[in-house]
Amino acid sequence: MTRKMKLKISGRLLKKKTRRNGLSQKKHCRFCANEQAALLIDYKNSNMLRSFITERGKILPCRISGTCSKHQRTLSTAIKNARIMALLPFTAGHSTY
Amino acid sequence: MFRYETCFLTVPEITADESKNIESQLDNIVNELKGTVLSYERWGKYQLAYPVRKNNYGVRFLVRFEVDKDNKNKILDQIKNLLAVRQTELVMRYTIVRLGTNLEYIRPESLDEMATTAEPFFKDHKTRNSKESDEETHDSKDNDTTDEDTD
Repeated sequence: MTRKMKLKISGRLLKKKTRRNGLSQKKHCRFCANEQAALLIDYKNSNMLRSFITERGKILPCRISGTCSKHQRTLSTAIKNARIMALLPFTAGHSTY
Repeated sequence: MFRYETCFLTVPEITADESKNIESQLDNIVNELKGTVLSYERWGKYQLAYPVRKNNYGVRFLVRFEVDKDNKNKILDQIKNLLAVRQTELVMRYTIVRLGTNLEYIRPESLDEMATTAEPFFKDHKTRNSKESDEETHDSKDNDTTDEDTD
């Protein structure tokens, strides 16, 4: 029995992905590869967290950033804590820069 | 023993006396209940990601302390009371986070540090650009004169 894989990605994003990579490549979690980097996931390290949010300030989903679900959880809590301390923006509209 | 840290964001106009006052009050709370303060750091002035209480800038502090298991809740309650109620006019935001074994951390650059690193960079580039622009103007003048001669 062959079961069809369920695609959770929207059609638009899939097209974008295939256009860029040609064939879909498997992504690797950068924190699993380097244990030192995983220790630095912290709400204070806002410069690193900035690479995991979009221009609008939303948290990047793991299917795009490639992080595993374990590290995605720690990342998302760190980003939320950093937002409370005004280290990261909630949205792009209120920026003081 | 549990290790905790509190990071708090204060009004940009905070004076040295006021920050010392907060430090001594935190010291008293922790020492009274048999805890120890590991560090009290002033990070410096920061530009905020969004305005807080109509302020675009703020000063950040980080305090780390060790607590016994029995007195843990009392100390945390008293610190919350201090930062959220007694010092409300100064402290805009605060968080209390439990620490793991790793005490190293990376923090973003404050505005004071950025100013010291940027100054020599701009000085060098100003001098270079001005020299180059001077030379270019001289060259162009020379060229113009030679053209006229050949004509």
